Order: sequence, then structure tokens, then C-alpha cells
Amino acid sequence: MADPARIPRRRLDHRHLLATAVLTVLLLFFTVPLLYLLSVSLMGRNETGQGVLLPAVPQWSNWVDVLTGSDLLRGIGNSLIAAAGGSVLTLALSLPAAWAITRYRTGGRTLAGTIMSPWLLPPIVAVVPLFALLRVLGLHNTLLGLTLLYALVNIPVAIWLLEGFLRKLPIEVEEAARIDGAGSVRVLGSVVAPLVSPALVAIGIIIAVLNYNEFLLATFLTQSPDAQTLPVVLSMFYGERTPHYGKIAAASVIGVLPVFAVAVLLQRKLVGGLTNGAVR
Amino acid sequence: MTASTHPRRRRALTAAGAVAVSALALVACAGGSAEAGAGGESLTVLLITSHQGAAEQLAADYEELTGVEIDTVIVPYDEIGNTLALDQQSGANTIDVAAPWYVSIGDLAASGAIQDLTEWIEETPDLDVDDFIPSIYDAYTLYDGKRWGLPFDGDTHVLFSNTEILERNGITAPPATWDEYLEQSALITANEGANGVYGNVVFGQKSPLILGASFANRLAGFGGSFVDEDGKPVIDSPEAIAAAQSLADALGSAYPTPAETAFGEGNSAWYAGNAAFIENWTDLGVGSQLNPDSAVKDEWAVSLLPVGGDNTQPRASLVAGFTWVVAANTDKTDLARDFIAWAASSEVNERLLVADPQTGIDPNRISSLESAAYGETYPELQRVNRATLDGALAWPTGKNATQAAEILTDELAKLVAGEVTAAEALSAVQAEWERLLG
Amino acid sequence: MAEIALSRPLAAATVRPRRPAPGPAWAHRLFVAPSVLALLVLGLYPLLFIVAAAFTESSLGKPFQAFAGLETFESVLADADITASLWRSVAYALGVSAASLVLGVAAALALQGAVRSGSIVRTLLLLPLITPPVIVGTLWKLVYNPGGGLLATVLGAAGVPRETIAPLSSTAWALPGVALADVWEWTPLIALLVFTALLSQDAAVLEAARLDGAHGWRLFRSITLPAIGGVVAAAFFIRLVLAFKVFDLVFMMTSGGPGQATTTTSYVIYQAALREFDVGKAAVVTLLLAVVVTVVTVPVVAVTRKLQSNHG
Repeated sequence: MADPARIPRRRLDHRHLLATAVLTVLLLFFTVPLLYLLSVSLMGRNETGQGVLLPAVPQWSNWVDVLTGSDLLRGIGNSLIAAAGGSVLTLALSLPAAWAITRYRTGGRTLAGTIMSPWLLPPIVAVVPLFALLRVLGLHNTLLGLTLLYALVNIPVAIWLLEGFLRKLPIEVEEAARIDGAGSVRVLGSVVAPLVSPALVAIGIIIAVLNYNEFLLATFLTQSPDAQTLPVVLSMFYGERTPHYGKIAAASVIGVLPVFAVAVLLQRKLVGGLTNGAVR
Repeated sequence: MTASTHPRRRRALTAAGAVAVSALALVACAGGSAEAGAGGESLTVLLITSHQGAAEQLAADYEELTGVEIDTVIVPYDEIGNTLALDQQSGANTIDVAAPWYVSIGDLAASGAIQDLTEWIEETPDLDVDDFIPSIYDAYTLYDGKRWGLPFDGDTHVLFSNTEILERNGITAPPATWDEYLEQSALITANEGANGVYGNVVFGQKSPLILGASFANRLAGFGGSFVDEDGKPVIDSPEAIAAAQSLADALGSAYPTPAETAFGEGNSAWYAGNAAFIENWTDLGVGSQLNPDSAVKDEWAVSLLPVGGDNTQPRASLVAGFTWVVAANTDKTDLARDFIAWAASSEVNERLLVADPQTGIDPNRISSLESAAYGETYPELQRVNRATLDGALAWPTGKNATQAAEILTDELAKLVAGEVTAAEALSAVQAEWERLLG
Repeated sequence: MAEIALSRPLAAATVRPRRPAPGPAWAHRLFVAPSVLALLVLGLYPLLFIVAAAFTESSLGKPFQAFAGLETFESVLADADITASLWRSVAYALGVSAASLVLGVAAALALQGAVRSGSIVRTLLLLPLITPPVIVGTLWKLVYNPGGGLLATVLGAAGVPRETIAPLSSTAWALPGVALADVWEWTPLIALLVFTALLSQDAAVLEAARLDGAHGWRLFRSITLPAIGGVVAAAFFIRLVLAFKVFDLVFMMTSGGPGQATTTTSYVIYQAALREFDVGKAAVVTLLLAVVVTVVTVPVVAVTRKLQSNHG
């Protein structure tokens, strides 16, 4: 099937040139800093922050030191687990809720109005009661606890994003299923879910990204290296007596590689999902 | 989810379900492995990132001695107090022993996060508490008339000078007063700033351990204090204002830029030979000799912090300093106490002082300070560390001390940013401190 | 039921359900149960804690020591630094969101209209979005490194003396510096959402309008803009909330400095709770921020719902 985003071009006119120019500038804006990060990751101690754009000799030792001398890989692993696990759970919990709220106004105005409220505020003070709650459940300082928390935290965002797609679904298909005798669960599972699955994948990716990047909750709710996620491990590099910015940059590049890889692979699904999510 | 009539959908749902389940299982397994190793005893010790080197050595030595495994939890220096407090308050109780900044002792004690060790200390003469450097012992462990820990890392600041840079600029001796320091720094920066070499490093990053240290060093030199003998704030005294002004005057010649200079940046500049003067813990000397990145080996001198105003007696400034404490809710009290007794002992301190690679630990006891090993390996550092024997300036350490330190830092940050004058900054602090510290 | 279905043959694509549910309500309640749980666990429970803490003397180690009434509220409202941080957060959030919106829409339109915009381009555009904020902070700190970072080096090549370039040490430039990093990071999200909305436009409608002679700005304004308006508003709302919550960037790049220049309200809350151990103060500031965020976002939400319901 053709890439939904490839729109046939008929002729080159000034609008297209303008668009291309704008796109080029934006592309530079977004990618140059990342290239700089890569460059710094290969710099020696005397080069970082000294007005050097490219290292004289690539210091691959930065990468080696960071990989072997810290908990970076485990942090990345933990991040991936919490991100993916949390995202899948969020979707599983959000789709039924979004559907019930959109279609049937379950919970009425109150639920629809307040569903986003926990997501609106920085969760700093919430750390204290949440910590106590996790402790009561025996889940403090565990990756499982953090994953479950991530799953709950993003339900509002997932519902918010799903609502738009669900609204666009034609009601006839669902009604047809009902006439056939399907209950709500059946309708949701066999009719609605498949129709929005591209959107689900896309939103799932977005939420997984939000989880992977989350720092505040992870810092305070996980102390041991077993449970620490990538952002937490990265923040530790700064506390060293003489932080080596080349190594910090190397750790950062290694930290984003898995996510970048996923983005490359799933980019098509991401865009396709958000597009196909609108009926067509 | 119910079974659907479309095999493709069913597979997709099953796949999703399988992913979710396996993710949870993986997570549960990963979490499970956070428990202590099967069999032998273990102790969880909370330390800051700067102490990681010392932690590794302590863990290795203690395990060799007793077979007890030491699990170290390392956090950034700004986070150790709240990590311990949260751990105990929530009932998580994963920490047995910690070495927080001494300023937070009062707050930790008041919130019931650490154990009162007064009786244990009285009953254990082997601890030899009279051997602890007096100015450090009280400041680091005393709150509300009781003892809450044992000193770990002395951590006074001294002045390091790059002898090569001084020579190049015709300066024959390190500055004895803060005014001389300003003059010499300005001269060096004027001569060599274009080459990236500056007269002084000013730690101005907005954190009590950093910016607060820069101020405290000058406050000590000018003969001021944070609080008087009754514990009442005197932070807007003429000496304090003069000290703050001296700090502000030092910014112009400083290594760019003070507001962004924390230990990493400052120490790196020093090791690279790009700064003439830096205030730092005595272990910077150790690092200058041993650190592979050091370009200043054998090119440095160390002296007591300069004096200022009417004060002519150099005074040590206890800017960091860390105390061994036992977590209140630990169920391994005896083991924890045994560990900190050992870790704060003279032999251990002495070993950490001269270790290679450097551990960053400073003397906490008279015996280790005066030890032959220290004197032979680092005679200059031994000489300047003796200043702590004559009284030193310590931060307030009672209840709300941590918050007080943050408030002072905030106002000093405004001074560094040029938004307020020294007098304005400190009178604002005085008002807040009177409310907080009584 | 059948009659109703038959009576709607033409409005196939943009139907909106208006009548209550057939099917058991208990199933629907079950569906929303986890979300309600999330609301209770993450919303109500912490909120109760925060309200209780706001009216008591509470430290990090020992919450709820004594009743304090309105004392903490008074001292917080009297604290010029805190009220300044609230204004700063509002200005920051609005500024950053507006910039992200403009750039995001521009990026989406450019993507659609450019000569070559394949997968690679789209992937590259997404990269800032998926970079952890901690790394974004690190990265931009390196870019802004005084006298030697990317910015200083580039400007140095253009003739500006390198040592003078230190945005994060300047009270005037520190917040814009952080804002730039924030815009860099999140604009791709808006671009992504708007781009997909652009693609979902009804091609038939577009063709019809073009045949009628509309093109360029006119086409954009009367056909495209209304069609994507709902998505743009929804994206703006998310962006706004994210901007109010900004913490990681400030934490990594400036610690709130120089002076108070980058001390946003979320940083104030962090400092109060976790550095000063004063949970009571942190709770009060959180509540104040909640009020401010609500005031700012309510109009946005209203506009979003309106645009969504008009055009789906």
C-alpha cells in the first residue's frame, strides 16, 4: 500500500520552493544540535567547551568508558521496559475508557472534565504520597512499581488523543454489530479496536516516548541501580568531581540510540497511524 | 477481551496481550533482583557521587574484614538529604547507613530519620571521640544536645595557587588577604585572559554546597559568623556584608562564568592549568598530583584562606563535611553502628587520606591528621588542615538549617547576577533566618 | 434502531452520536474503571495530601506536624520571588507554546508542500521529540557553554568575541535560552499532529475548492485551517501543559539561576519540597500553580472542544 503521505507533485512552483526552503532551515535547526552532541561525545577533555566543533582525534574511549564503567546499559534496559510496558498498559486501559466516554458519555460531564487534571501539574509534591502508596504495595524502588505508575499517569493523555479518532468513526459499523447481538465488550474488541489500531500504535509510540524520557518520578521512586532508568543514570554523571563532558555526551548518544532506532523503524507506522486513524 | 471472529484480530490482540504480560513479568523479575544476595549479611549505605571512590574502597575493605557485603546507593550531592528523609518517612527503609551533608543533621534528626547515638557513644570508649577534630565533631554531630553521628569527611576549604602562573605574572607569594587576592586575580586575568588563563575560579552555581561555599570562605576570612553563640542569625553583620561584597568583586576576573561554575567546571579549569587561584578541599592537591588529567603536577602551592577586613587570623571554613548516620528505621542497628565506628576510625581515615586513586576524603581525627603517612605524602596539605584545630566556621545545623542554606544561596545568586547589592541580599536573608532559626 | 440508521444515509463520514447507549451500562463503567482509578490514585489522593500539607506544618521527613491555618498561604503570597515565578511560568508557557505552534504548523505545511519529503525527513524531524529532556538539557548546555560551545564557536566565527557568549549566565538571556531548548524539543510533536491532520483532509473537498478557483492563502484559510483547527488547538493545549511543567531542562541547565531568571514555579516546588524539606510551602505553591494553570488552559480547552465538535 502506498505511503499515505506521498502526495504527487505536478510542477515546481514558488510555493514548493518556499516550502522546501522552510523545511531545510527547520531540518538544520533540529539536527545540528544532535550532530554537535555526537561530535562532543568523541572529544577529549581539553576540547569540550573550548570552541572546538569537531574533535581532532575521535575519542572512542569515551564510549567504551561509559559502557563499561557505569550502569548505563542497565538504565537503558530499565527505561525500555518501563516505557514499553507502561505504554501497552496505558493503551489497554485507555481505549475502553475513551470509547465509553466518547460514545456513551459514561461518567458524564464530571469524568470528561476532570480526567485530564492529574496530568496538568508537576508531580513533585505528589512524590511523597505516591512513594508511601508504592511502599504499602511493596512496589517502591522497583521497576514494576514505576511501570504501573507510568501506565496510570498517561491515561489522561491517551484518552485525550484517542477521543479525536473515536469521534470520527462511523457509528453505523458499531450499530450493525449491535444489531447482530454483540455486547459492548464485543463491539469494542472486534469492531472499534481494529478500526483505530493504527492510531493506537501511533499513540502508543508517543506515550512510550514520554515514559522513556520521564525523569522526576523515576529519580525519586527508584534508588537502586536495579531499578534506575536512563535519565537518572545520566544525572549521576554530573555529580562527579570533574565531569567529563565528552563522556556525558557519549552516554547521552548511547541513551538515545534505542529510541532513535525505534523511531526510524516505526516512523511510517506513526504517521500512518495518525492519518489512517481518521477514517479512510 | 473476547475472542473475535477475525483470526487476524485475534492474533493481534493475543500478541498485544503477550507483550503486556511478558513486559510485566520481565519487570517483576528485574525488580526482584533488587533484594540482597542470598546468604551473608549486607548493609545498604547511601553516599554522594563524590564519595563513590571512597565508597568502593570502604566496601572492599569492610567485606574483607567482616564478610559483610556493603551495597552502596549513590546519589547527587543535592539529593542525599531528601533521599534519606523520603526513604525513612515513607517506611521504605531501604537505607541502613548514610553520609549526608552535616548541615542537614538537625532536619534529619527532627523528622526522625536518623538515630540518636548519644548513649551508644558514651558507652563505647573505643570510639575515642576525643580524637575527632573538635571544631568538626560538634558541628557535624551535635543537635539539640544529642549526638547523631560520627564525622566522616572533614572537608574544609583552602586556597590553591598555580605557582607557574604566579611566576609568569611576577607574583611571589599567594595572597594573604582577600584584597590581595582580588588585585592579583585582576592582574593575571588582564595579562592572560585572552589565552584562556584567568586569575581566579569562583564557584557561583546556585547550590548551597557551591555558591554557599564561596561565600563561607570569605565570611570566615572576614571574621564573621552565620549565627552567634546563642544560635541567633547575624548574617547581616558588617563582616558578612564585606564578605559578600568581596565575592561580588571577585566575579570580574573569574573564569567564565561563575554562575555556571560548579565543581566540575572549576576543577577542570584548575587541572588544565587555566586558573591561578581556586578555593577547594585539600584533596585537590592529591588530585593535582595523581589525577591523569592534571597538568599542574608539582606546580601548585596551598595556603590558608585569605583574611579580610579587620581580621588577621586565618580561619578554616567547613563548607562541605559529611557525617555518618544510622537510619532510624533500620533493623540492622548493631551492624550499622559497627560499620560507622570502623569507617570513622583513625586507621580507615588515614588510609583514605593517602589512597591512590584519590578518594577525596579529608581528615576527621587529630591522629589521622597528624599521622606520619599523611605528613610524608602530603606535608603541605597536612599543614593547612591543621587550621581546623584552631576553630573553624561552620554552617548552622539545627532545625530548618537546610532551608536556611537554600535561602542564603538564593540571595547570593541574585548578588552574583548583579540584581541586588551585598547589603540588600544579606538583610533579606537575615529577615528570613530570624523567622526560621529564631 | 433500524429506522434511525436508515434515516442517516448521507452524513456517513462525520456522524456524531447524540443519544444514550444501548448495551449494558455496567460494561461501560468497567471500561472507565481503570481511568477512574488513575484519577483517584494520581489525582484525588495526592490532592488530598497536598491540601492537607498546605494547611499544616509539614516537612519532608515528617508531614502534618501541626495545624498552620493560612499562615503558609500568607507567607507564600508575600514572597515576591514566588509570585514572580508564577508570572514567569505563565509568560514562559505562553511564549514557548506560541513559538512551538507557529514553527510546528510551518513545519507541517512545509512537509506537505516540499519537493522531497520522504521518510528520512520525517524521521529526522522527530528526533528532538524522542530525545529525553535530561539529554536535551545536557545538549543545550553544551551548545551554550560559555566561551566554547556551539553557539559561541559559531558566533565567534562571525566575529563576535567568544568569551562574551554565555547566555545561561545572563539574567536576560537565560530564560530564552531554556525556552529555545524547550521549543526545539517539542515542536516536532505539534508538527507531527498537524501534519497528520493535514493529510487527513478530505481530498475531495480540497479538489472541489481548487476547481472553484481557491488556492494559496485563501485555500488555506477557508478549507485547511478549519479542518485542522481542532487538532491544532488540541496540540496547543498539550504543549501548554508541558510548558507549565517544565522542570528537567531548568534542573539540568541552570538550577533556576542566574539569580531567579529561570526559576519557574515547578522549580520552586522542587526546591521547597526536596531541597528545603518544606512540604507545606511546596503544597501551597502547587495549589497556586494549579489555579494559574486552570485559568490559562480553560479557554484553550473550550476552544479545542468547539473546534473538534465543529469539524471532527
